[in-house]
This record gives sequence, C-alpha cells and structure tokens, in this order.
Amino acid sequence: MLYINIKVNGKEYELGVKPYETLLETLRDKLGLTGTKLGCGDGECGACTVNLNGKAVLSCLTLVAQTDEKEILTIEGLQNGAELHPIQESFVENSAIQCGYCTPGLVMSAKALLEENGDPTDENVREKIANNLCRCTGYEQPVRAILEAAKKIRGENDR
Amino acid sequence: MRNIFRPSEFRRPKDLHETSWILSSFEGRARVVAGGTELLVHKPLDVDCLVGLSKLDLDYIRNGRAGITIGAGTTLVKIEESEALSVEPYRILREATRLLATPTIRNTATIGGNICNASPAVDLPPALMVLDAKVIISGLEGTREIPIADFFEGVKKTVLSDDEFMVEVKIPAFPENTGASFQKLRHHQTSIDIAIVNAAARLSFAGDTVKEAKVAMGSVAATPIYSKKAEEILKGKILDVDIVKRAAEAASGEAKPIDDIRASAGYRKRMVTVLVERALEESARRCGK
Amino acid sequence: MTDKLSVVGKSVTRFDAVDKVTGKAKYGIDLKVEGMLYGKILRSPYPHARVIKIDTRRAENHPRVRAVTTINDVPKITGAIGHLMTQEGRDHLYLHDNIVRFIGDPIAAVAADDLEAAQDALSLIHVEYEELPAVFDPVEAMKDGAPVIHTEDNNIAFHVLKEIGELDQGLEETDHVFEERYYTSKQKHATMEPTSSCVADYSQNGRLSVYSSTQRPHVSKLYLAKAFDLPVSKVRIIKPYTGGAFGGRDYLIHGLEIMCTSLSMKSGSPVKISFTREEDFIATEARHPFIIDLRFGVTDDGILKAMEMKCVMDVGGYGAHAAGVMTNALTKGVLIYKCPNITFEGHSVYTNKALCGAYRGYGNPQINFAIESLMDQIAEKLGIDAVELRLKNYRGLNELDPLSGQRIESDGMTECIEKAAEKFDWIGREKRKVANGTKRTGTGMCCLIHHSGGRFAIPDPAAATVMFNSDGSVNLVTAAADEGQGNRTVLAQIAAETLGLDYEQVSISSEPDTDMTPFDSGTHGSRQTYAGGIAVKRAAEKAKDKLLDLAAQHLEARKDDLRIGDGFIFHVDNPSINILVSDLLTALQFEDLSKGIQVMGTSTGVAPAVPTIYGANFAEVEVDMATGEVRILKFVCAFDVGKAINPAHVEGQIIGGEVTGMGYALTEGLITKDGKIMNPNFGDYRMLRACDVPKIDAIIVESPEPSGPFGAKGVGEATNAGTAAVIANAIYDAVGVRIEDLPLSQEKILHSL
Repeated sequence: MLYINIKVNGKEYELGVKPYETLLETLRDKLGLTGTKLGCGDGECGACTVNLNGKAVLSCLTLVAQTDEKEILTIEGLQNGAELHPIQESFVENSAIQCGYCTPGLVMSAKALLEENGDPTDENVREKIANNLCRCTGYEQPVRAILEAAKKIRGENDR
Repeated sequence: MRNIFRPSEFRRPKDLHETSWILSSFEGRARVVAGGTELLVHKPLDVDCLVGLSKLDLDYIRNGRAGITIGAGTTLVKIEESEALSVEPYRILREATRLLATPTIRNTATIGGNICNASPAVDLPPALMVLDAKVIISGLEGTREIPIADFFEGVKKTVLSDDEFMVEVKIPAFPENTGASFQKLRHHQTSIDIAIVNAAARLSFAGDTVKEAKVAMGSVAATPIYSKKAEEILKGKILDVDIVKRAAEAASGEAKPIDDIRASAGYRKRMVTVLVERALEESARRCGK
Repeated sequence: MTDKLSVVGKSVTRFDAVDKVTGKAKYGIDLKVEGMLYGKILRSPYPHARVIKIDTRRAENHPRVRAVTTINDVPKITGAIGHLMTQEGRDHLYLHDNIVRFIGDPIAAVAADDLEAAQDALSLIHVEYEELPAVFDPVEAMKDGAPVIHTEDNNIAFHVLKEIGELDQGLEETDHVFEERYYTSKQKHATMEPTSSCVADYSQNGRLSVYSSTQRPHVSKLYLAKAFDLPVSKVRIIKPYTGGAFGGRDYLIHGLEIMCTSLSMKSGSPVKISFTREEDFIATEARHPFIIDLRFGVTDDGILKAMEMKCVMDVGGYGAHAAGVMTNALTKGVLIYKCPNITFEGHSVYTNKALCGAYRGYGNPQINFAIESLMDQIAEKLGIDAVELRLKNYRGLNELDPLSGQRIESDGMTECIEKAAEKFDWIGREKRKVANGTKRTGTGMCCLIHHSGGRFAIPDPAAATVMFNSDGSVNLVTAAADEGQGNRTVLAQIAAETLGLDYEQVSISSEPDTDMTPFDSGTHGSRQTYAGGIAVKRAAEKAKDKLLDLAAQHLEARKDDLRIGDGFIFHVDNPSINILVSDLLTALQFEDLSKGIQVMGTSTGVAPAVPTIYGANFAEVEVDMATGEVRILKFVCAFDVGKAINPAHVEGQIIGGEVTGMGYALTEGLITKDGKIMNPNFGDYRMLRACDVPKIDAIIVESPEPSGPFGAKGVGEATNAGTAAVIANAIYDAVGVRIEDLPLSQEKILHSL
C-alpha cells in the first residue's frame, strides 16, 4: 500500500492505494464515482475518460499512484450544483444521448477540448473524440452537441 | 508464478542512479512506467515493481546547434505541438505522432514508452531512424548512446539490461535541402489503428543529386529496419520516377513481413512499395524537387 | 388529425437524459447490493471436449471464497422462447451438460468477498477434459461423419424450405439468369457496457431477485423460474440502466444469470458477475455468418421472375436464434420484391465456435447484402438504372404478403428512394466522378425492408398500465426495456398525446420491474414503438374512457359531450360545465369516502400486424487503387417509419444503425482460428470512430401505418440492413470490382483489382 494525495472534483483525498491500482478503480470502487465507466480496460473505448490537470486522459490506463498531487475532474464534478454544465445541457438538448454509457467519457473529452479550443470545427471535434467509441449514435448528434456547447460557452464569455 | 498482473511495489526514484539501483535490485522484475498506456494494456505477469519516472524531469524538447534532444518522458502531445519540431525534416515526428493512437492517449503516452515497448509496428522508430536519431540509456555504470536502429533486438526485446532505462532521444542537425516523409497504412485509415506497415524516408540533396538517402520501415520484420538497398539505389542519383520505383521495390524486397490477423505478408510487401514510393516522392517534394 | 398533435412528433428530451449526462444513472456494472459477493466464471479452453472431472476443493478452501458452482450443479434448460412459452423445443441448451462446445463455454463459477479473490480462485479449480474432434466450418459440419455437437444425429439446428410459385418455370420464362455466392462476417454487438453484469439475490423470502440488463425481463423471468423450478411469481427481474443491447441481451446471457443464481443459492448472499470486455467478445452472442447462394431470373426489361436463395448459417456452439434469424432472413428475402416464383432454403448449422444470436437486423443485413449486390449487377448488365430496377420490382402498397397472408397497408419505398436520390443528386453522379492519382470515386444505392415485431412468428404480447394520480399527473407502467433507443420516452409521449396531457405530466421509471408490470415480450424486432405503443395507447384510452365516465356522472352530462383540455374536463357545447381534472380525481380517490377510486387503464394483448418498414441508402466512396483503402465521402439514407413520434430519436436510430453498418461493411468481424477468437479487443476488432465516418443525411419518411399508434411503425432494426450492400455497390462503381465477402477489407479489394 502506498499513500497519495489527490484532488477529485475539488475535494482533497489522502488515499492508500495498491501499486497496480488504476485511477478508474479508485474512482469507481473507493470513491463511489461510478459515472466514470469501464468499457474495455484497454484504453480503446474512452468510456473512462476523465480530466487530469485539465487534459483528457484514460483513467483505465492511468496508475493512480502516478496521479499523486494532481487534480482530477470527473463527470460528477462538472455540474454547478443543480445547474448542468453547458456541455451537459447541450448533450441533453441535442439528443446526443442514447444508452448513455459512453456519454460521461465523451463529455469529459469535450470539456478538455473546449478548454483548449473554444471554437473548434466539426473536424477538430471528431478528431478529439476519436478515443470515445459510441455504438448507439453514430457520433452525429454528439458532435453537434459539442459544437453547440462551444457556442454556448462563447456566448457566456461574451457577456 | 502469478497468472495476473499484480506488482507489489510502486517506486518513484529521485535521480537516475536511484532508478537504476531499484531496477537492478529487482533483477528484471521491475518495469519502468511512464504514460502507462502500454503497460496497462499488456499487464505483464512478470513484474514485481513499477518504477515511475515523474521526478526525473525527462519531459523536455530542446533545440540546439547540434540538433534536437527530446526527454524520454516527453508526452506525445508535446511532440505533435512542438515548435522546434515544426521544421524540415523534423516535422515528420509531429506527423508520425499525429497518426499514432488518439489525442487522448497522446496526452499521456511518451516517446520513451513508444520506443521501449519495441513493438514491430510502432510509428516513431522508423521516423527517428531516418533522422539518424540516437538514444541515451542510463544505467548503474552511467550513460551510453546508441543509434536507435541498434536499440531493438526483436519483438518486445531491446538492448536494455536489467538496470538500464532510456533517458533521451538525440537527433542531429541536417543540412539545408533535406526533406523527409512518414507514411502509415491502417485499415481503411481508421484512427487509433496500429500500422499494417509504415515507412519513413529522408533525402538530402546536393543540387539535384541525392547526397544522402535513408529509408526505414516498420511492421515488416521483428524490429523496424532500414532498407540499405533502397538507399544505395538512391544515393548519388538525380531522382526520377524510375529510380524511386526501383528503390521502393528494393525496400519491399528487403521486407520480411509475416501473415497475421491484420494483414497477409504478401499484402504488406506490396504496400511497402507503395508507402516507400510515396515517402520518397514526398521527401523530394519537400525540398522542392 | 395529425395537425392537432401536440406531443407526438416533437423531439422532447428523453426522460433519462439528465441522469445519464451527469453520471448518476446506475448501470448493471455499477450496482452494489448490501452483502454482495463477486463472481467469476471459469471457461473452457477447448472448442469441443467432454468434462470428465471438476475438482473444486482447493478453490472452496480459499479463505475469501464463499461458493463454487459447476455445470454439474446448475440446472439444465432447453428450449427457445416460442417453445418455452408453449411447448418443449430443442433449439437451445442454456447451460450445458458435461460437454463444452466452444472456447469460452462456462464450466464453473466462484463467488468471493472480492473480485481479486474470485479471480485467484479460478486458477485453483482443476478440470479434467477429454478432447473431442471439433468442426469449425458450417459446410463441413453438415456432412455425414462430421463430429456431432449436440445430442441429435446431425449438426442441423434448423432447416427451412419455402417455395412460392414454380422456381424452375420462373427461370425458364426469364431472359437472364444471374448467380452468385456471398459470404458474411461475424459482427459483434460490442455494446459499450460489456454484455453482462447481473446481480442474483436468493437470500431473502424464498424469492429470486435478479438485476439483469435484459431486453426481455419477463421472458428472463420465465426462463429462470423454469430452470430453478420456482413458481414464476417467485422470480423478479429488475432491469437497471443498460449500456446498449442491439439484440445481445435478448433472452439470458449464456451462463450468466444461471451461474450467478446458483452461486447466490449456494452462498446465501447476493452475487454479482460482470464480464470483462474479452469475455464479452469470446463468450457472448454475435451476428451469424452466412453463406448465401443466389440465382435470380429476370426479363430483358428488368422484371424479377425467379429468385432462388440458399443460405447456410453458422450458429456456433449454441443456437438460441437458430430458427429465428434464418426465418427472418427468409421473410426479408421473400418479401422485398414481388417475384412470383421464389424458393428459399436455409440450414442453420452448429459448429464449435463462439455462439451467435440476435443482432440488430436479425438475418437481414446478411440477406440484403447478397440480394442488393446482385440487383446492382443485374441493373448494370441490363443497362437499367439501379433506382429504376428497384422501383419496378419492390413489393409495395396493397401487395399481398405471401407469408402471413396480410395485405401491405403502408408503403414509403418510392418516397424513400426518390427523396434520398434527390438529396444525394443521384442524377448528377456520373459528373461527380473523380480520378485523381490512384484515387477513384464511385456511387451506389440499395433499398431494404424490415418489419415491426414478431406477431406471426412468436408469442409477442405487449402490455401497459396507465394510472391517473389525484393531481392529474399520470404514471405509465410498462416492461418495455430501454437500452438507449428511447422507447420509454416515446411511450410516455404516446400516453400524453392520447390523454391530452403535456409530456411532463406523464412519468415513467427508468427500470422495468417484473413485480410491477404485466407480461411484455420485451424489446426486440423494432416492436416497442409499434406494439408497445399500441398497448400504451389502448391503456391510456381505457383510463381516459373511465375518467370521462366518472366525469359524466359528476357533471351530470353525456360522456360523448365531454372533452379534456388544458387540465379541465368540459362540455363541448357549454364550456361553463366543467371540472378541473385534478379536482375530479382527488374527489374520486380521497374526498368521496364512498369511492376511493384510482382511475387507471391496463392493456394486454398483441398488435394486429407486422408493418413493413422501408428504407433506401445512397453512398459515394473513394477507393485508393494502390492500397485498396476505402473512404466514404457522402451518405444519404431515408426510412419510412410511419410516423416519427420523436424525430430526434429516429434520426439517432438511423445514423447509429448506419454507422454500425459501415463497420460491418468495411472493418468489423470476429476472426476465428481453430475455434479461438483472435481479435477479442477494440484494437483488433475495429469499430468506426467519429473521425472515420462521414456526415450522414438521414431523411424521415412518414407513410402512416393504419394499425400503428398515431401511424407509427418501428425503425431500429432496419437501419443497418442495407449499409454493406450500398458500400459494396459504390466500390464496384469506383473501381469495377465486386467483393462478395464481408468485410470489404482493403486487402480483398486490392487483390481483386
């Protein structure tokens, strides 16, 4: 067992972790944050995507031991109280959700993307969510939702 | 013997020597972990200790008179966005990186990891090979420097001994009139897919004559390889369609691919011709030829 | 009528969207029950073997292991669904005898305090096998002397021969005969939540509660009751949020619920089993590979006079859908074109490979690929436009369905083809053709049909209950399983529209629970919007009727004169005679102490028909002649859904289906070598990603189905049926090679050039 300090969704934790424990296991099994999904465990489906120091990463391929002193944002930390984040709002409004299993990962990829590039093209979005497999939507509506979210966020910034 | 990936220790050494000391003390049962994107996919069973290198400051790209040095712990996203690597011929590293895995994986995967996992199909080694890159290896006895092509000994096998690990990649400076290209073939060019075959080329010209030529390819043998024959055909020549074709065919002749679930050996050999031809044409185009 | 609709036809937000987008939705894999143990399954390393002995003692002695079960302990159950509800059948053996029939077949399972212990304990179980000769090729498996996989004397799981008219005569009357053989691949559902995760709990009150992500909760309930010899009333299935199904969660999951229940019975604790992605790939169902021989006879002017279709379907080790999928390939093959002479023969054959089952399209993507590839060839040979050839031959409005004897009541095929062709600019396709370096572009089209529900093939009841609350809001109770399609949202829309309420006034829970809902055959065969919708509409009409009855008494008016609107019940001629719906309901339920009535309506029964869904696809591709690579440049499709209750959902179904179809066409397919699946991961099993697919134009056509709720039919299963054919046809147009073997890999294309 080794001890690490991490900040998850703004809250600080001191945790005893196993050397081979993944960030995904910590989030789901220790912190009860099951919004981050396990889809493959091989880093290919992206259902486990979270933001680590603002970047989209695959929590199934991240040893939690390596996140010591780092900041993690999961889908549960995106809302402001009862208020949805504009990306979440946009997913709801654009029918971008079907089974919803890939949704948290997609939203977290989108979050990192929009932090970096507030005005992405359709192509930028498709490239940045390449790691997020979705078997239901065919990607069209999620891409639309992310582009709409970018507009929303830009609009807020204008104000 | 454990049948499951369950190392009992995770260490974060503070300097190169401590790293080697830990590695050596586990006699081959310790594994360096950088991004983790390779390790946690394969989950090797023969590992007792994981060694994280985050305290070693191996995350840098430096541009100097003698060329470029890249820390082994540099994430791929830094490479694809690097200003220093945006110029000819280095920019093939950015291009190869952009074709490698996905942006999400590139946020954590490192150049050292990509090289050290020594898969026959990896993308950066052929690009680094045509750029005459050397890798710096650190061990208990200090550091040593070897050409990247000599780093690989077989599938998943490198020259690293138990106490050693990679710290840096060094790429020399090139004369003007140098152009390079990296080509990768995937299944219907789907993203994330690893290479069916890949190929890189670099041409340095003196006037219209090819002064130096390098051709490397991956996924055609146990390790990435140079095509010496292609290089001989090109060297000292004024390029034309025929010479490019002959060089590409020579490269294909040197490729010794296997049949596997991703492609047949025959298809791979044919594709080496196509990719090397494209890489040479593009390299020449990039020096205005 | 339609212009008055206020909820139906609107893209309302799905009721579960916020739960899903915030990560609050609990899927099977997220479930935790107090005192729960973790289970793991031990699987066969052999494709065909007899299990001689299983020694579980060392596993049982593991300090954290609470129970071990084996194939010797679990019940055996036979019978496919239709048979189960009515008679014994032989199609499927849920959990085996002492024979393992594919690599990955379950042999034993352990339940432990934690997952690591369960994993460790698996390696402590010692199994002694006697290897048996295995057969992997379905054609070989049909031959005399092939190793016999089940207890019957051959490997034929199902055989069907359907003859309409006189094939030989039809072939004689034609001017041209076309013959080809097609092969299709083994596509995996690859739902984003691995196809598993179940918690079985037999720890309390002699009742078995199973949290199972099944598409058919009531059918799973019947199976488990039968397997464990419990009264049906003692079994309860609760379906949590489910990360996609596409047919993969039809019935039970092979070994899962039964092993899990057995562990719970042995340990006295709830037990959870979740499969890894690799287990999902090797040991859950996939799309059946087909070998299809076609022989079509056509006249000079392109009229089909004879169609012969011979199919061999690879069932794998077990055949839950050996009959169903073949029969569905038959209905789609027979019904798409109005040919007078048709012969369809199908053999479903057991092999020692991973099992196959229901998968979106259910036999249609296979047969459509063959038929629509051959139709393209016919069009080219006869010099008839591909669109024209389809329009000449398809079986449309008022045609008789020769299989069910029903008349076709709605027909949007012409509209689908014409609208999609216009949007695609089919006319201008030759002008758009580009030859650039080694790249060539080409275009293709195809059409397709599918059906809503299984009314004439299997017991297929639907049920719903609509309950008014005293404030005028409504609870809709149904066992319709929503794996992401949005059918529960659509059903709530149908209830709201029928009752004259706002969508927000109708509430539906996210989790069907067989204790709370009447028997419903579940979600399969594009039936929920249609058959489920009919049940909901009937239930809502009953509730509304009862409400008006009671209102008439209360208002001392004639029921026929009363209307519902804006929260009031009022007299149509004298609106001052009125009462707030909530006031009436409160009075009936609570204020009038002599009554205590809750107004509700329940409907059980079947839908009257299996309406035809029509569709047309158009694609433009670019092929690299040097490498064989294909890129889809443009894709337009149109589907006749009768009435789009929720257009955004319909669009999502269409685009999602087409993209899995593109994967089926180009990159997907399990690769099996000596019975072993060689690509059980997303690295080697290549599904298309956001940047790999083009923008898809989805056109919704509405040719109302008279028997459907507000004219609606289904859509989901139709959406991937024609994708492989349209891409194959476009590739042919680009480079002149016709690949008749899915997937259309670049290596096959280059090899043919």
